[in-house]
Amino acid sequence: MKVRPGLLLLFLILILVPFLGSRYLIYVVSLVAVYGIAALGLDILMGYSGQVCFGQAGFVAVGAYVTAFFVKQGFSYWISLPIGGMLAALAGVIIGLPAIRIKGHYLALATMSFAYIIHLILVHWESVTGGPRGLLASRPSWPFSFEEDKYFYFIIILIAILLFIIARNIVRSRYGRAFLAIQKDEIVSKSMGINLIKYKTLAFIICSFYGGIAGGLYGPLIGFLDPLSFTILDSALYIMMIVLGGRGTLVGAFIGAAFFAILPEVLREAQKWQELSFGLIFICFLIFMPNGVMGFMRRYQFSLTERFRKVGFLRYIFKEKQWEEGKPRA
Amino acid sequence: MVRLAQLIVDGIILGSTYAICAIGMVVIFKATDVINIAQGELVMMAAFFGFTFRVLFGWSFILSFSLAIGLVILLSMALERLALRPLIKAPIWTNIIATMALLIILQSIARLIWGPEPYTFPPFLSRIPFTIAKIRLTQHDVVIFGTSILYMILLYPFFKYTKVGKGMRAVQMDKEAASLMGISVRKMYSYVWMLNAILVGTIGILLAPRLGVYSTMGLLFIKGFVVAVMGGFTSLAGSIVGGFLLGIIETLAGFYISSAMKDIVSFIVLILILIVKPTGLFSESVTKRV
Repeated sequence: MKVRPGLLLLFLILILVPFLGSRYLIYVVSLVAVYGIAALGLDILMGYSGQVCFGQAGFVAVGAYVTAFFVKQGFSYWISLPIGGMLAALAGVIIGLPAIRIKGHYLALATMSFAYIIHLILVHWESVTGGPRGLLASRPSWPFSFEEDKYFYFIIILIAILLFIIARNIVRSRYGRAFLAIQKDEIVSKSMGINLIKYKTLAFIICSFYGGIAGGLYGPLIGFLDPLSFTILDSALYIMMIVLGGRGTLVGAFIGAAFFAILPEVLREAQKWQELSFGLIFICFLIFMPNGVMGFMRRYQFSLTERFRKVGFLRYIFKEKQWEEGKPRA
Repeated sequence: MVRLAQLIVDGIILGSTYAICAIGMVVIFKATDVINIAQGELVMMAAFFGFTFRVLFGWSFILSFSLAIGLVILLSMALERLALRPLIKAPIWTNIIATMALLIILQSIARLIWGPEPYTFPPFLSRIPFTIAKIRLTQHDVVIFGTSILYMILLYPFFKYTKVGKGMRAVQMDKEAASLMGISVRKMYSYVWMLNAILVGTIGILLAPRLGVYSTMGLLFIKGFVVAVMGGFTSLAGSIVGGFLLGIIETLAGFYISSAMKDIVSFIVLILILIVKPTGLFSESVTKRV
């Protein structure tokens, strides 16, 4: 196996964070990983299979509340977490099956209303979800107590790395190639023998399972679940993450997650400006860098020698902005 | 029986505002392929502009009304020019997410300028109800309903006979052909957003005394897209009927089931329509071209 110094450095930093960093830093890095997991699933759905989902926060909410519910009933956290993921995946099937018939903007609206319904259920079904007062989510106590942030940090990072490797393998397998083919052209890939129903539903299942696991980790990390953290705007945030990091790159999901987890902390002083800057930055990314940070870096790596020197830096950035003129929009 | 009739009338009045929002969305979508999620935020901005002129500056109602509409027109044209026109060639989901970012931006701007607390807007008409055939109505309700109906009626000759209206229809049919015929497609994009701003802005100011003015009031009108889907996102008549239907369904569900259901039911309706008949309730099926 080839030794990659960058990767080793990243591992080293991730291992050292809890020993050298403050509690606060540990919290932020854990949050990046949790957001990243949810964005990773969405990236497989949107970046690879080319479907749109405006309801990732709904899947995250299902995972989070189901996990917290089962823990409250006395189940172990290590059983509740997969149950949360599975039930979120079930929700994904329920949304994914009708999604075969609809696509494009209709799919966006359908998934968006799914997220709305979940949010409203969280607010109104008080006997289970606690309503607007929220729900306490406790950390696992087996095999030893994870109350200390550092220990739970390792759990989150381990799961994140594991899920990342799984996602990378999915993407590189025949499934990933089928997803890409569907994204490129549904009718052609169908005529090539790709089972659209199977693969499109599968993409939804993967997306929602990742969302559910992220939710199951999010609850114990924060310690408290509140319907306000699962609104339609949070769904938009996950999409922003993958667009910002680079659609269809997987690593981009974590870059975007890091951006949106760290920016609020940077802007802590000016909390009023937070949402405004989110929106503005995102619009700028959509217009000027639609391929996100990763897309930019890839081009930057390959064409540094010729292009970059010839056109100059600013022109280079703006050159990238044009959306390719492909098929007319259906 | 009277109660049911009362609820239906209330639903129709609520529905007429939904219908106007949906018509704006449909007009925009047909011409520019953008689904404007930030529709409710334009309603909110109109209400806030009206509030500023009427209450903070103390100007007359007519003056503040027209100034507010003018500002919303400028705002919505600016949004189209700055945020959405650069994305014309982008895939359709980028437009949706871009308007969603606009939603966040407008909401936070409103919060920065006017603060998060709700304001009351003084009623410009008597709110003392009168009864016709045992159904209670206020003058205000009548004006809201009447204005919506007036707009719906006016849209017909607008699209049929005026130059701009015909241009919009031409752009909806075929952009390239339209521009070959000497219609400026870009100008039509601006006009479409302008038309939408007039429709939505009026609704915003008329509803302000009823709902109050606050920064998240736009989320109430996100149901405009449910209505637009009922009409298949292409039919104006479909959105009008859909608007009244949704208004009635919501009011009835809110009364007979529970007030929580009032919000949920509209989204359930949307998902059901998308599963059963994605082309809308009133349209024939569309053949897909490869």
